[in-house]
Amino acid sequence: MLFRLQVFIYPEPYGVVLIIGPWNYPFMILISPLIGAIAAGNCVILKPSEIAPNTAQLVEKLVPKYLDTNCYHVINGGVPETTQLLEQRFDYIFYTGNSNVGKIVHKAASNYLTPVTLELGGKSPVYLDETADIDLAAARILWGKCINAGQSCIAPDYVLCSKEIERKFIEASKKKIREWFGENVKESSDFGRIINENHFQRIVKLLEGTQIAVGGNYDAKELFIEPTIIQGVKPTDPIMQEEIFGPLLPIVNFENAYDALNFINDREKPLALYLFSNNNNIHDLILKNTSSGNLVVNDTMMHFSCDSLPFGGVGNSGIGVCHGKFSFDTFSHGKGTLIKNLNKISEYINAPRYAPYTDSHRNFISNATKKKVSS
Amino acid sequence: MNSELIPPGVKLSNSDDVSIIDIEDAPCVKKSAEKVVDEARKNFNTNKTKSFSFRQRQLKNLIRFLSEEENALCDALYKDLKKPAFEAITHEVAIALRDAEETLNNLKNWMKPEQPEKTIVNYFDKLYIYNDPYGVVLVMGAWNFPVFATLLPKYIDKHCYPVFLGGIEETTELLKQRFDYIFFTGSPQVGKIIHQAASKHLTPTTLELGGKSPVYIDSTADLELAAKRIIWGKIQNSGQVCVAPDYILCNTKTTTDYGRIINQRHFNRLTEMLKNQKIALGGHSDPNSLFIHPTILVDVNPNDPVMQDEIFGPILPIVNIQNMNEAINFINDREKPLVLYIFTNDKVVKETFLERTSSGGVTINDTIMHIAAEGLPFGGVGNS
Repeated sequence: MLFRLQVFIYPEPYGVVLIIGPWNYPFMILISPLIGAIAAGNCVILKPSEIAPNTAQLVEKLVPKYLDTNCYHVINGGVPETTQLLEQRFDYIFYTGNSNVGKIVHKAASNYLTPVTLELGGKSPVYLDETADIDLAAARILWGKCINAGQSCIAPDYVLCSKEIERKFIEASKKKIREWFGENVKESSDFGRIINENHFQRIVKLLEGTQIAVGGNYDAKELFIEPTIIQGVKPTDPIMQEEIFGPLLPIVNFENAYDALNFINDREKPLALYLFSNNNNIHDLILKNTSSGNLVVNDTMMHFSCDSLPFGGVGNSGIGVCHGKFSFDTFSHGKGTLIKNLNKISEYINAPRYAPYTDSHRNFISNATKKKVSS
Repeated sequence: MNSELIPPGVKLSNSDDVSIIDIEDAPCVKKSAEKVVDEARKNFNTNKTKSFSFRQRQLKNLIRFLSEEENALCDALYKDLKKPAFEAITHEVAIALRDAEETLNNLKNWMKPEQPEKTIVNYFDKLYIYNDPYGVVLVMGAWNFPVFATLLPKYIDKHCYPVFLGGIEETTELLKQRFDYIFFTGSPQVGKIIHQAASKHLTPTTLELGGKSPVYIDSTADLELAAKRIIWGKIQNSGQVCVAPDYILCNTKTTTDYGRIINQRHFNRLTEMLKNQKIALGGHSDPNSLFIHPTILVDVNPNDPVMQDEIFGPILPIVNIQNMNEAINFINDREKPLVLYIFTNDKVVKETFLERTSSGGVTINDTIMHIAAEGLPFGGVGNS
């Protein structure tokens, strides 16, 4: 019924986009969506995080040097400035940060029905079983935990494994930390620091009353906390209540895969789920019975650099996706367009739709639009 | 708020399972919003809705529902809107049927995980995009469709797909619950309320709203054919369609089996719009049968009440403009519409409108038909 027509999806920019950046990768997570927004043809207001002030000021200074000053602006400021910004009307808002502020951004967007992408967080679990090479697994898990001193939205938050595996994991971890950073981690130039006093105190408090298996040292003056592994963790412990966002790795024990599965599903949907196992049945079990923004088997974090994978959360961990073409699509409105001919020939096909309505017209339309259902 | 109101004289089974009451006898069966959502979530967590065969079975049942209950559906639509059976079938039942059939045919493919491109870094890895269900989804339909409550449970799993009826009070209660996705069709004003309610639980939403969908006609268009297609678009469901052509922009004057307006409130809203307007055609109405004759208004001023809100009725105002640029500015001064209609044979005009305006969708040289075009995404942008 629709031959000799043109049907296409026309990607158009939304208009004025607001990008609010986080403090943990204060440059990359601001510029990466900016690239998508520019590519899609929008004008952009950038709001760097005031909690990383050096980067914020540098961005404010340099963006006008390289990009059109009329179309791309940087606005710096704290909570009052951001609140004021959110009272304005935007055509799209891209926010990266925590779920609580995510809700505030989403609510502000309601006033103008502004579509949003929220890259949030949560506790990303690591499932580890006996079929995995524990040495390799430990290396990949610790790497995810150690970069940026654990301050990544997709950092492996806690490990789920049996008591037996825990023992091996701890041994392997001690070796790796020594290998990477030497005997005194504080002296290595390859390990980061906590962003500020507030977060430092918050993370150190989580150590109270815990059974430390590896590490545990910290230095308030330097905002330094060394890679720390905690055992004997109970689900009710404070460290299991919030996203850690620091270099502490709690280990929660389970005796079988179903227990681990229920543990994961009792909690908010995570931004990332990490699964270390060579058992295909376990892969299937976890894959089909959990929901997460992204899922990585046998590594941590690495999905971030795959441009062809949609990066984003689900449920409390976020709304929407980005990276590669997903960013372009995020900042574009796909306008469905139908082009018809205004002539006697196309009107001949149109004829049955006009009144007076007759049964023969109705049957023509029914038959023309019916789909044969293949079993 | 948690009690279940069961009308007297209705028999229950021993297990107190309210859902197996013979609903035809009961005027209204209430379960609290919290209980309905909780039950749906429990059912989702059993994983039964995830299997291909379960989804296939329910979709097949839906197809059966649409075929077997065609008469009941036409009847209900006639009672609500005096909708002619032809429209009820070709615009509602047939479209739903086709959607269900299309979905069923593609279901296996759509469910298959996608394997996106790999770069050399991932040479030894496997990359997939899995399509996971969100969980419990709330679908809010435009204008009540009570026949669903009685008939639908006979065809599809009543625990996984409960029908919840109610007015503003019940809907408010429903919106306090946590959903994993909300799909709403209705006005932008209510859309904002829904979006705000969704913020509480960071629930993703799809909002199919509305607005004033403009029609631009220039002198290169066959005016008789254009008028025919525009009036057809306006008359469907008495103009009560989110993608109905709302108003015309042109520099010439043009002129034109029928329905009723859904209720008194909407009837009054529309007849108010006609006051003090210059009527070129129609204009008469009958409050007793909620009938408004197809009406064309001329010499319309942008500040007139009829140009402020989405008309959603059989009134077609004509606003005069001198040229294409004036039309584009007029359109861009307003909220982004759900659809833009352009009647022209000039390629440059088509391209200019496509590039310089933004709308949910565009149909050139017809009205409404893009919603029947498969492969085109249907939706709004901005306020629509």
